[in-house]
Amino acid sequence: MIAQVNEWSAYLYDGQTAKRKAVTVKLTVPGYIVVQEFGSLARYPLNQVAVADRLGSQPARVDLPDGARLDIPAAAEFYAAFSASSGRKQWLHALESRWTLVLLALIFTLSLAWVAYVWGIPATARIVAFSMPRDVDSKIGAEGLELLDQFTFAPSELDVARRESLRELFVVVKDTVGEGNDYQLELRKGGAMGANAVALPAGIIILTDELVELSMNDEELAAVLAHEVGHVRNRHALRALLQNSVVAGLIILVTGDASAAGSIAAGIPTMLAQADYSRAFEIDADGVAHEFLVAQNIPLSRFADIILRLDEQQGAMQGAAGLLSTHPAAVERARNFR
Amino acid sequence: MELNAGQLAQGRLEPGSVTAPRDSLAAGKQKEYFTFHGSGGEYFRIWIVNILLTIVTAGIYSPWAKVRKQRYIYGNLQLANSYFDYLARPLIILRGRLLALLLLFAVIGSQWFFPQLYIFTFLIIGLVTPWLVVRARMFNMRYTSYRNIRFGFNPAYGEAYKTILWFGFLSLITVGLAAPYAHFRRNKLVVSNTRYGNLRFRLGEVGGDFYLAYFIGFGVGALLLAPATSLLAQVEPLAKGAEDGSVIGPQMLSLVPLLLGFLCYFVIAKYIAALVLRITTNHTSIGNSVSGQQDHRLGCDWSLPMMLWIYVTNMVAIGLSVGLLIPWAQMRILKYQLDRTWLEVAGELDAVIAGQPQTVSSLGEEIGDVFDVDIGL
Repeated sequence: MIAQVNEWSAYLYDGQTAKRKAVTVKLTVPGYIVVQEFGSLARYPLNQVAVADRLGSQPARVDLPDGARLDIPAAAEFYAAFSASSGRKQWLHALESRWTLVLLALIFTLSLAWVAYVWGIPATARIVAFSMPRDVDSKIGAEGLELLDQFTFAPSELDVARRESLRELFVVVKDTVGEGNDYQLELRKGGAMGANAVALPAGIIILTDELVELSMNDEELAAVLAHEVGHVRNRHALRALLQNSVVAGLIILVTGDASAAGSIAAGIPTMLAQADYSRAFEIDADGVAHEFLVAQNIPLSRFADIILRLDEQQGAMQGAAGLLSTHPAAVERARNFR
Repeated sequence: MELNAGQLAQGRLEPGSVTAPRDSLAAGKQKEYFTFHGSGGEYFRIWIVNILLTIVTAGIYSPWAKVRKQRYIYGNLQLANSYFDYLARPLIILRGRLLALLLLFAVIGSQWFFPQLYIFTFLIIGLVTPWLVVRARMFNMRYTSYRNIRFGFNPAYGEAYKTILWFGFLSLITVGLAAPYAHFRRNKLVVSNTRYGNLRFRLGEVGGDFYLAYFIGFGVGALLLAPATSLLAQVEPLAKGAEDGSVIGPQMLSLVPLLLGFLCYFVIAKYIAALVLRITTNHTSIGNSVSGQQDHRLGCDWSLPMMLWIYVTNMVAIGLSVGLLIPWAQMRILKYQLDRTWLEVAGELDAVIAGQPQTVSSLGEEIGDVFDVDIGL
C-alpha cells in the first residue's frame, strides 16, 4: 500500500445483523471519514465518530453515529492519518509500544511502590490513626481480653503482696511515659503463651506470671511494661490495621486479575509486609522503653538483659513459627540498649 | 484468570463424551476455530503501564486499566475472520467501584464495632450474592460484542437464588455429595441465560458428567498424594537430623508438608475446574431451533495433562519472577485453551440479528462486577 493515499480496506458491521461487509475507508481533508461500499458512499464528520484508542496490534475500531462499526486492519497507517487530521495522539499506545519506556515505567513503579511502602503508607496511617478518637482503639480490642482469658490465660498465681508491688511499679511506668492515657494492668498465668507481655489497643496490658519469674528484678519488668505502654500510646494496633489493609488492597489491585497462581503471588508479599511493619512497631515501642529508662535513671542494659533472656527461652520452643517471627532479632534490638 | 463464559461457554459437541470430543461434523456444519492473538510481550507492556498509572493516580485509574486489559484480551480473540470486543466504559466501572468500596467499609465497620452482629452481616451477604451474580453477569455480557452484535444475560434472579442458595445448602448438608450437581446447576445458570443477539445459549443435561469429572479429579489427587506422603516420611528423619546443626533448618523442613498439601489441593482444584469447563464447552449449543439440531455448537479438545502442566509451570514462573511473568502466564493459558476451541457453525453466522436492547438500570451490575462475584465456569 502506498502510504500517501489515506484510503484503507476495512470491514463494516452494521449492528443489525452479524454480517460482515468489505468496504473502503477514506479520511478526507476537512475532517470527514468516508465509507465506500460498492456504489454507495457515506460521509461522517470526524467529531461524530468514536475512534477507540489504539491498542496492541489490533485493528482500528471506529464506531459510526448510526450504530455501525468499522474494523480497519491497517491500524498503524489509519491512526497516523487520524492523529494528523484530528490532533488526537495515541500516547498510551506510544508508551506501551517502546520497551525502553516500559522498563523506565517498571523502574519508576517499583521505586514509587517502595517509597509508598517504607514511608508513604506508615506516615499516612500515623496521621489518620492520631486523628481518630481513642474510642476507635478500644472498640478494636474490646473483646480481646475476654477471648484470651477463655482460650489461653488462667488467673495469676502470684501472691497478693507481689501483685500489689507490680501494680505500684506499673503506676510509675504509666506516669513516666503514658502521656496521660488510660491504662490497666492485668496479671495472668500465661499457659501456652509462656513468659510474655501483651498490650491490647484499649490500654489493657497483660503481664504473665512466667515473665515475672523470668525477670531478675523489677527494673527489668518496668522496662518491658514501658515497651507495652509504647504500643498503646503510639496506637500501633490501629496503625497496623490501616497499613496492612492498604498494602493488601494495593496488592490485590495490582495482581487481582490473576487467579489461583496470582493469589499466592499476592498472599506471600502481603504476609511479609505485615511481618515487616510489625517489626517496625516493636522498634518504635523499644524507643518508649528507652525513654522510660533514661527518665528514671535506670541502666539501659535492664531491657537488653530481659529480652535476651526471653529470646533464649523462646528460641528453644520455637518451631516453624519462628520463620515469620514479628519480633526482630533480640540481639539486634538489645544493641540499642548498651 | 477464569475464562469468561462469553468467550468460551458458547457451544457444544455431542453429549456424553467427557474425554475426547467427536471429530466428525453433522451435515451442513462448518468448524470455525477460535484464534487468540494475544502475546505475553505485548501484554506485559500494557500491564506495566496499567500498574504505573494505577499507582500514580492512587487507584483511580484502575477502571481504565481494567477496560484496557479486557479490550486487549477480547480484541485479540478471532473467530471466522472477526474479532470480539469489550465495550464497558471506565466511568461506569469507577462509579461501581466507589459504591462497592463504601459497602465494603460498611461491612468491615460493622464487623469492628458490632462484632456480635456478624451472623446478621453474613446473612445479608448471602442473600445479596445471587442478585449480584446476575447483575455482574448482565454487565459483562452487555459490554461484550462480536461483529457489532452484543451478548446479553437474562435477569434470571429466581433461578439464581434457587441455584446458589438452595443447591449450595444442599451440597453443604450432604457433605459435598451434591456438590458436582450444584456445580452443574451454576454452570447451567450462567450458560443457559446467556444470549448472543437473538440466539440463546443452552447447556445440555450433563450433571452426570460433572460427577465423573469430580471422581476423576479426586482419583488424580489420590495418585499424587501417595508419592507425596512417602516423600514426607523421608523428610521427617531429615528434620530430626537437622536439629543437630546440619545445613537446612528444621523450620524450613516443617514447611514441606504445607507446600505439598497446597500443591495437591491446587492440582485437584485445577484439574476438576478444567475438566468441568471442558465438559461445559463441549455441551453448549447456541441457537433457537426446537430440536437443537440446527444450532451452532461449541467444542474444544484441551488436553488436561497439558493444562495442568501449564498451570503448575505458570505458578512456578510467577513465583520465581516475583510476579513479573503474570501477563505472560495469563496469555499462555488463554492461548492454549482458545486456540483449541471451535464453533460448529450451522448455516450462516451472518444470519444472527441484534436482540432487543436491554433497558435495565446499571445500578448493582458494577457492584457485582467489583465484588468479583461473577461465577467462573
